[in-house]
Amino acid sequence: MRAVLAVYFTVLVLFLILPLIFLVPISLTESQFLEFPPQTLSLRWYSAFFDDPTWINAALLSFRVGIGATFISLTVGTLAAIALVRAEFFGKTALTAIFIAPLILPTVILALALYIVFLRFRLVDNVLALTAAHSVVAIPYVVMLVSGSLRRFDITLERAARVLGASPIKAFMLVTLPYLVPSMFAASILAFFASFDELIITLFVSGGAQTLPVRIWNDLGLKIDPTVPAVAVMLTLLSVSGMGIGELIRRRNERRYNTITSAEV
Amino acid sequence: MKNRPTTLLLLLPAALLVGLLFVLPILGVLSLSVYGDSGFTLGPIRELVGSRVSLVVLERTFWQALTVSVICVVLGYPAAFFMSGLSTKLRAYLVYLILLPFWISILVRTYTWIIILGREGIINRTLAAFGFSPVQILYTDLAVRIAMVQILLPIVVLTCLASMLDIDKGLVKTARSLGATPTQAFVKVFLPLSLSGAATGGIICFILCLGFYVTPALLGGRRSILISNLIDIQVHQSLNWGFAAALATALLIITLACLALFRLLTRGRTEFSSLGVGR
Amino acid sequence: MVNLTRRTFNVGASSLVLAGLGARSAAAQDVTIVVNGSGGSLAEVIKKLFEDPFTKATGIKVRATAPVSLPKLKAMVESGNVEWDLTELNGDDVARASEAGWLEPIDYALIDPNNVLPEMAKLRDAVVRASYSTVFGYRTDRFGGKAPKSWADFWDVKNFPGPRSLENSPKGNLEFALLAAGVPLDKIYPIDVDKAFAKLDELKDHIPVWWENGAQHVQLLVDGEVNMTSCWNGRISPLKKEGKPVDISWNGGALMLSYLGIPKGAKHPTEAQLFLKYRMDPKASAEFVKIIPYPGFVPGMMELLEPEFVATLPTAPQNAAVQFRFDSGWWAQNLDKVQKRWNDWLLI
Repeated sequence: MRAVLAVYFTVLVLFLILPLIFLVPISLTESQFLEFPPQTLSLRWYSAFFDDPTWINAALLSFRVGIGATFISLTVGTLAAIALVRAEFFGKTALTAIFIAPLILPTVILALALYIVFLRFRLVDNVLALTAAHSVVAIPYVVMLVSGSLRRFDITLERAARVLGASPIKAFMLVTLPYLVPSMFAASILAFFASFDELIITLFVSGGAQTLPVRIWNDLGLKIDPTVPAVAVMLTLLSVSGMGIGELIRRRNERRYNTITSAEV
Repeated sequence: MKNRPTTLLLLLPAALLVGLLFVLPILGVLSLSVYGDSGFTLGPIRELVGSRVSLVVLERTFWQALTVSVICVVLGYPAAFFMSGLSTKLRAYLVYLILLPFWISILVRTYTWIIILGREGIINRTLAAFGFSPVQILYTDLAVRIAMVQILLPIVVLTCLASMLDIDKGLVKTARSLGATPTQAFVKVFLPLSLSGAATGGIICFILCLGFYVTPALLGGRRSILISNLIDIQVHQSLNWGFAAALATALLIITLACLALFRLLTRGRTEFSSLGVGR
Repeated sequence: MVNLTRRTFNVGASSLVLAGLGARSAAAQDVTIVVNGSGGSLAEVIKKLFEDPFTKATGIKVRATAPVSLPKLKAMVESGNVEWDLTELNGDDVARASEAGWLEPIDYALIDPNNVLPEMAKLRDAVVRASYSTVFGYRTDRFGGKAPKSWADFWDVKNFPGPRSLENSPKGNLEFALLAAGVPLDKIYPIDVDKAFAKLDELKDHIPVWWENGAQHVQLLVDGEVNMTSCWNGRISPLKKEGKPVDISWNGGALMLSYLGIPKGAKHPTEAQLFLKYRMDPKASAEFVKIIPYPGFVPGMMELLEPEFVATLPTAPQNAAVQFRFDSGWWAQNLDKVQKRWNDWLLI
């Protein structure tokens, strides 16, 4: 059974990273167009990324906005999820629906609506406002995942902590919050990528600032050249190496911790 | 938690953010569907009811969303189950692997599918090498579905997995020690407990499908476009914002009605209680 | 204080050019004009060739934004908070924006004092920035050495078999259908919509894909996804240069114009017009056209280019002669009705 599942899982992962597998050779082409297999190999489109400051700035802006939006939506959304699950109040269903609605409404409508408001309050071309707008699109993930997890939580555990003398906040922090970590982690990942890949709202409200998807989109009117797959491959490599470095640091800490504890023993 | 001020305090930041940057702006635009230059009007709504293409595209959008989310849950659940049984460390790597495609913008992934699925693309060239005749995948609903599943599957796997990790492993063990076969333990204990996560994943997936825009436009045939594309035409080409607002309102109402119906059907069944649509 | 100066500019600045110019020298230091274009890799070229030298010469800073968007223009003019001082617009957008009153009139005494711009380049509230053609491109390796020569050939699925692509928009396609049906170049407008749709019906089943943007139609030809497609003239020559088996035919192409205009209520209309004037520099324009072959009507520019290169431009006399001028006025008048019919025709 496990073996069957493992095979199935491998096939599934292959399907998921299929575009990535083809993007690597496509990004290494000499041609101005996307072609597979490439006729001549070159790093031309990788250097094109670094020669054009707009690409680098777009990548940096995407990370800034993405991290900011994740932070805002995770904080604000988790707090709201707690109230939505634990408290009884009038209009709860309606409020929950409103928190989820940003996901339902086509973004072009939200984009137009935000643009009109941003114009009035002179928020166009304001990175903070853009980050806040992205966090609105990310909140539904946080509310849905965290409140789902919270409903499954066995509240007697928290009560037990209270009985043992913990304050409500302390009981929540020590017992419930650790339980929420997997779903908060999943929610923050979805929130980050909701922002990282957001295009239409950004097109409307960002003024001249370009995030990566906007930078790609602005080119698409005319052409798509292999810089675009090159960027994708580099981002993936960056994340893989980030993960690798994180893992190395973790291992080193672990070893140090182990030596300390064994020394103490 | 019966404490009103605390509840208010917890809700306030989210309510402010969503209120100022979603509810108010959106009400302004949605009101265009009943409020024109010359005051109250039923024009856009009449236009919507009389527009066959809008109704057809709406229906198509819901159908496409339903099929894609069912496919995603069916494919994603076993994958999440597999991952839930692994060691924390290995699981972390696999979560990471599944999330790799997220680093590639949807725009880029869409273009990659063109190269893979095309008439002279990688699949058809492979088929030709083995003597098969080429198949038309690109510019059909199938291509749109493949690409949408590829985009949404990680989200469903992640959501299912998060709920499976919530499950107390002791419960399954207890069931086993009480004489249940592994299958029984899975069906009677694990499955019901993890269903809510699968449902959350399926619903997130369904809702996201409703808003798909780039993928149907670039990979589908002329009959593959979804409601977002139609709304986009009204916003960008026709500048008919009233009609766009009417379409968006219809989509919002139908979607919320679907979610409410789903709640109603699963009422009282605790395994579905995490649907996010209140209780 | 700055705000006060800006407000003064707002009040009919374009009619008070001289007064505005006087004020400019005092205020120019902290003026930034916002110029909206299509962005992407072209934005860098425009910055290097036009914006940076302009800032150097006048002290007026330029901030580039993107993309070109009619809904944004509508929203900003209606809200009274105008973000842009100058924006690119294509032909029928200009016609619609102009009719709706979203554009400031252009002061030609300022941007063209010696009256050298051809009449064709000048509208009341927009100036031609570039011209481009929508023509048909085809694979040279698919028709056994034959080459399609006209839209009638494009419609001829017997002699030129295989899938085709057209843009996902009625604009241009109705004209091409009429040409395929034998309507002469000068009798296209006003468009006989019924006749055009009837002709499009014949080809509908041979078009698996309706392209959405410029990147897509090029990719369609490169990948061999279609054998023929309507396309913009600029992207096929780089393909040919790389040795790809593709070509275009100018025959029956639609010569389209792209404009620059000043949104109504722009904060710095005078500075925007100074920049407009700067964009008419023949030397910089010639450099620009070498990178992207969509020429404007800047006097003296063509003389700076190689004759062989000029022959590949949409406005070269031999190319212009076989094309028709896309009538953006007709489209502005009829777009709503035709777009609705197009959606019904295409999407159901």
